Amino acid sequence: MNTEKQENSIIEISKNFLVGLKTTIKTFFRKPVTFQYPKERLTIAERFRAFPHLNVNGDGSLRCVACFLCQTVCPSEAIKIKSGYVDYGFEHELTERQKHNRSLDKIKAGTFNDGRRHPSSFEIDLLRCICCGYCEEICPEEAISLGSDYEVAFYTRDEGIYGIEKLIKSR
Amino acid sequence: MMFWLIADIIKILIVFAGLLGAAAYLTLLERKIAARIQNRMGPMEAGFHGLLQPIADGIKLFFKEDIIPAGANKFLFLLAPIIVVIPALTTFAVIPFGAPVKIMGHTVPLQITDVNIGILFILALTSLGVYGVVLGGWASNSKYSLLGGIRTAAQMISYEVALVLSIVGIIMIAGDLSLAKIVSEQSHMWFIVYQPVGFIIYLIASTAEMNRVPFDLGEAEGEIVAGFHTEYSSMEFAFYFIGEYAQMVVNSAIIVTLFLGGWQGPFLPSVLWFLIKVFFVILIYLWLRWTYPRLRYDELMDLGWKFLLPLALANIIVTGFIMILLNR
Repeated sequence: MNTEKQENSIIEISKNFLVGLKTTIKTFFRKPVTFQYPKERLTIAERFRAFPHLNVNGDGSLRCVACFLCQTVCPSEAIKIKSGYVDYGFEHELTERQKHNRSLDKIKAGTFNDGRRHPSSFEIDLLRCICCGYCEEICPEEAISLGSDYEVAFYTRDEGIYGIEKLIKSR
Repeated sequence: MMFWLIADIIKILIVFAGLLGAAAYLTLLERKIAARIQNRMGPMEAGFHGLLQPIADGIKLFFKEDIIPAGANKFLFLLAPIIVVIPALTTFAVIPFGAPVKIMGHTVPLQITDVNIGILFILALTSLGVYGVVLGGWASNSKYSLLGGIRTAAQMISYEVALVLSIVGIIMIAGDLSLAKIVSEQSHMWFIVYQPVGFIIYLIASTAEMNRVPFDLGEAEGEIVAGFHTEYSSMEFAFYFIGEYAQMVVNSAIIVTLFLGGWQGPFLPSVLWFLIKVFFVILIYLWLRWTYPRLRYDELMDLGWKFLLPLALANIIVTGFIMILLNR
């Protein structure tokens, strides 16, 4: 860096003044970089990471098997999972021990039975979530992935905690 | 007799409405230009590209609460914004804004009144504006207002000298103080060609006279909140703004009249020429504002007294010398 004191001649000063004017007139004729947000939107990049959402199978059943990996890896402890029923499927031959498992009784009638364990509640606190993508990375079932919905707003902190239905619905 | 009275009243009304409308829409123009210079878009919501923004601002200011601070001198506090606006609007009275037109057999000059000391009238009125600022600063009973008022007073008085001296060259060439005469003297050549230095000095000094960036020491928002209008709200605040922008229009009109040939120009009607020229001078003011940062106070005084004043004096001497050489 040149630390010498600049020459303060009038010619030098007025030259600098003109440089300033030139810079502003140049930007004046350039296209504005802003966009009218609610009317126009930026195109989101493919790898954009917004808030996580839960994926479902083609038939609408949850992919999540309540393995707790995402809850373990989550650096901001935003994910809270409660393991729910374990259902063993119709064609599975139950062991003695499994026959005594009464957890299936709690399931509402008509719930799809795919022979897997599922969470009874799966909550993500969006106010804690830092959208790091660790949960998506670690999930063995591809059940959780980060979507593109960055426009999330709520009136109270409790509304920021998304349950299973909301997580499935969000993009 | 009756004809002249009516013609004068109509002219006054047109000028008055035009100035107020221009002052209102200058706020929009200023915001738009600022936005474009900073690569933004500016107001876009109210009307097409924000065209109704000044009206929305006016309505908002009108319904704001009128706050008069405790301990303020109420009379002077309310008087100060008026003192800012009135001279700014009155100055336009002597500026010719078009070629004389023929109406019902009379030749009506498009100028409210042709005072034969037009330039003196302008200078006297523009320097009245400083009273509004100083009174407002003092009457607010606030340290920021007082500081702003004092700063502005010192600054305006310093730059007034250079401002007046920069015009002397014009008066010498035109040989008359009447603005109508000065405009007709420029029918062959604009005075900016003879007086480029005078033009630049007038441009700088009038920017300082209007308290605009880069000379807005009086309302320096980074240092003294908003300077002399810190305590003002509602319509009084709006009056300060109207005064500032009306002064900008008037100053541009003066520059056009003195240096850029007034309403004279080929093909287009004279009033249109006048408006176009005024618009471009206003653009120069805006351009300057959004290019340069604010000066420090000692730099401001240095520029005024050590640079502009000697330059203006030298300009007068050189002009006189050349006039003698050319034997005019």
